[in-house]
Amino acid sequence: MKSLPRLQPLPVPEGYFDTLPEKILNQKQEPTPISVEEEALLYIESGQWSTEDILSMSDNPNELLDQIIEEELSKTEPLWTEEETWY
Amino acid sequence: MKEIDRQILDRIQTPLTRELGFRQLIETYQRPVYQLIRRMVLLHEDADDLTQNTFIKAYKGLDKFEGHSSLFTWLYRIATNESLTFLEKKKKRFVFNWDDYQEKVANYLDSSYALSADEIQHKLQKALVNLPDKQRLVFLLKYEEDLNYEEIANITGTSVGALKASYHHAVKKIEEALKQE
Repeated sequence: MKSLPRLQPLPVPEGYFDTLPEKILNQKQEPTPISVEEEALLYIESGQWSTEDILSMSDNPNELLDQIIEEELSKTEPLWTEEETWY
Repeated sequence: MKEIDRQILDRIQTPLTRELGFRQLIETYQRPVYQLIRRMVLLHEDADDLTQNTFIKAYKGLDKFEGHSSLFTWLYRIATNESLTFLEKKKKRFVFNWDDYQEKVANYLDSSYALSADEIQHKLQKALVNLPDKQRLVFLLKYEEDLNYEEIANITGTSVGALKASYHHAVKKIEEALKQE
């Protein structure tokens, strides 16, 4: 057992340990605070804000409601198609 | 507790000097942590990633560090977990071409020691690579790092008896490998 030699260190790129602390410190930065829009989206998606809540916070609730209806309608399937009415 | 650890922890626990304390932690322990990981995974790129992960995990868990062990033992515990988990994942990923990966590592060793022409070092490294991961870890901590079994037990969460057996097997295999070639 005493005849076993010590291991030589494996080669490391020059200057590696000079730059490593900075690389790690940059990585550990806390996540940047989210924007107001992202925060609002988070409340909506988690169900904490209902449509009524959002409308009540708007300066122009009617305009916003029109926008929501328009967006929602464009996502829904048409009730029938041209082909279906053909016969 | 060592004076340097006390100083690092005091700085980390004070919001104004937290960043400075963490930098000191990295600068104090980056070399031994990297070397241990490097010995386990061999390739620099992998060791670089795992060393960074080790310190990031340490940073995130610093508030939970209770000082029952030294910072060195605690960092080694994270580093060994990172290394063993990495090797396990690598084995699963390379399940169909594990031999290719082993060959890559063997070629790396051949090229690393070609210049030094240090035959014994070459043989020793190859013998280490062929040990099961946990045996290699125990060998490195005991023989290379000169830690005692109690310290290794703190790092690995394994009993002293199991560590002794593991070390005994590792030494036998290395001695056999060195005799053979």
